[in-house]
Amino acid sequence: MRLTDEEKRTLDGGRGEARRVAMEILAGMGKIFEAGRLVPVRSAHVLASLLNFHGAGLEVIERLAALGARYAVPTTVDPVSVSLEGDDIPLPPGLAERQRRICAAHAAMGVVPSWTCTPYWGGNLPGYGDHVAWSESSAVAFVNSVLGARTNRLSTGLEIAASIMGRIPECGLHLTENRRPRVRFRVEADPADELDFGAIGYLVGRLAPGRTPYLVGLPPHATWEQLTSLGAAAASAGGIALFHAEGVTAESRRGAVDLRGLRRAEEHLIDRAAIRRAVAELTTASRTPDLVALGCPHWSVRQLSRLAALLRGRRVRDSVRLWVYTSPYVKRAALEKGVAQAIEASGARILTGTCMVISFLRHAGVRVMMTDSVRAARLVPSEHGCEAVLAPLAECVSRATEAGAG
Amino acid sequence: MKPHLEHIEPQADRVFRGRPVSDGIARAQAVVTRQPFMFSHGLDPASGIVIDRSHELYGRLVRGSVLVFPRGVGSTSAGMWLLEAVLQGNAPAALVMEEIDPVLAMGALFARLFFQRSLPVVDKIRPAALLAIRTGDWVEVDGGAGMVRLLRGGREGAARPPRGRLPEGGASGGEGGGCRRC
Repeated sequence: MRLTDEEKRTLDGGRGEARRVAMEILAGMGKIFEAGRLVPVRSAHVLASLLNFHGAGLEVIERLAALGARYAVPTTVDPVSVSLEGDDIPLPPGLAERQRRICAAHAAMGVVPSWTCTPYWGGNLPGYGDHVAWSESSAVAFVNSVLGARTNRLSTGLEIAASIMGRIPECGLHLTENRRPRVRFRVEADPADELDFGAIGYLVGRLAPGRTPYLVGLPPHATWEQLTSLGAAAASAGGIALFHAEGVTAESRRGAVDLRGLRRAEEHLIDRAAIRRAVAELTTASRTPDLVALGCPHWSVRQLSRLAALLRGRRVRDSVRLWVYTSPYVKRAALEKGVAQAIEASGARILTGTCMVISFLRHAGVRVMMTDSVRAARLVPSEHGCEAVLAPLAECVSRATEAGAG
Repeated sequence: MKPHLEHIEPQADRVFRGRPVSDGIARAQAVVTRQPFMFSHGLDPASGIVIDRSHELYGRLVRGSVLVFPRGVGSTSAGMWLLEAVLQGNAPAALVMEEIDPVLAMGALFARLFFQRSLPVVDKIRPAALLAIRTGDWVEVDGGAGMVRLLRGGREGAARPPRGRLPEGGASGGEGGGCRRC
């Protein structure tokens, strides 16, 4: 990899120890991935959950913060393992302390305290063609596909180094030739909600892991929420960092998708039956849920508004908890709109800064979680040893509530 | 701990060349899967056991093995999960993949940069060669040279390990399989 004189000086320690270490990380990764050079990035998004960091990651980030490292570009941060409300799941003191130290290190380096996996609802919104350095696989799929920005699936640590330097090795999805689709999916299912879109993403990930798919047949008016759900499921099921959907995603709408490789590519059909099978596959229990968990990835104001409408005239049953996850700023907007109050009046909780995947559901005594999130249904059973029931939002609400004022 | 493997000789026709990703040499029994592997929420760093219930290796101990798999899946925290497993001594002794992704590469890079620990990784092995490695085969991975060797005494060794005492959980050369924190 060619380095500029300034980058060489940094690597030799001429710009301080923190930047030297960050540059060594970038140079090491650039070499492995045969990047020609480093390119400037406009923003970064970093992870912070102690489940992501463990002891090893904590040691790394504290060492960088102690060296005086600072984020050089606007940098938002993912959710953590305790909610900002703080009273949902009592964490064992050791774990809470470790989480606090990770957050403190990020704060010392100048992170924007977004605590969300959907920072685009709060303003970290890369432009078309922008190089960025994002972690969080669901957000990576979104910014690559829906916004047409460019990032690889960066891991905890690499995005931190990239943000400290404001640069990333130019390889993988930063290069136009690597953004070409390799496999075609024909969708004949009229997907209507986040569950349908999530199931499509799950199938794409299972059938073509690691490849860039080209989807035909998604409705042109598909919402960002639906596409978030598709990308999040495809990422968790198949490591997919970029999907193209004809007439829907950014590069397709601009006619910028190179379709030549698709002529002889394999094609898969996704129909209603396939979606039903996927939902059944991800449903591991038929027992009554003790937790109905919504908001994976973190919900938008529009999704909270829809939930408020479904909850009108209903209250959460005594035997079940209804928790909804979002970011602090979306909750704030929902409060101003009156939507958050309507939701909580039913007995549901809006929790910010965490989610069901990275908080310790086991400590809350959760045995069966019901959700409309394909990603959560895929990840929670492995991580928390509880069962998952996957169902449309209206069904989740009716299982969690009964008629009556809150 | 140095494994007693001197009697196992590399076979010339069983040497596969790939791309060197991460330095280090490890000798251990292979665990092979054709399914993508999820480290984040998929491999318990405290035990080295696969906890991804949707994976064919679910419940299996992969600590100290040469893990052969096509690619990583799951969240972008996978590198930290891998790093943590390395530091706790519960990671595979080496990784052999069709294609590494930045997430897993970082786990190996950080192990070296921050903790002076090596996890040999070789990728871009020909798919046909990957098919030649079976679970239970003894293999040697040279991460710096990008080489994977099938060792004699391999397949039979799956059921009956070759002569000599072998450390529990599979042998590993270099620093790959030691335990730093216990």
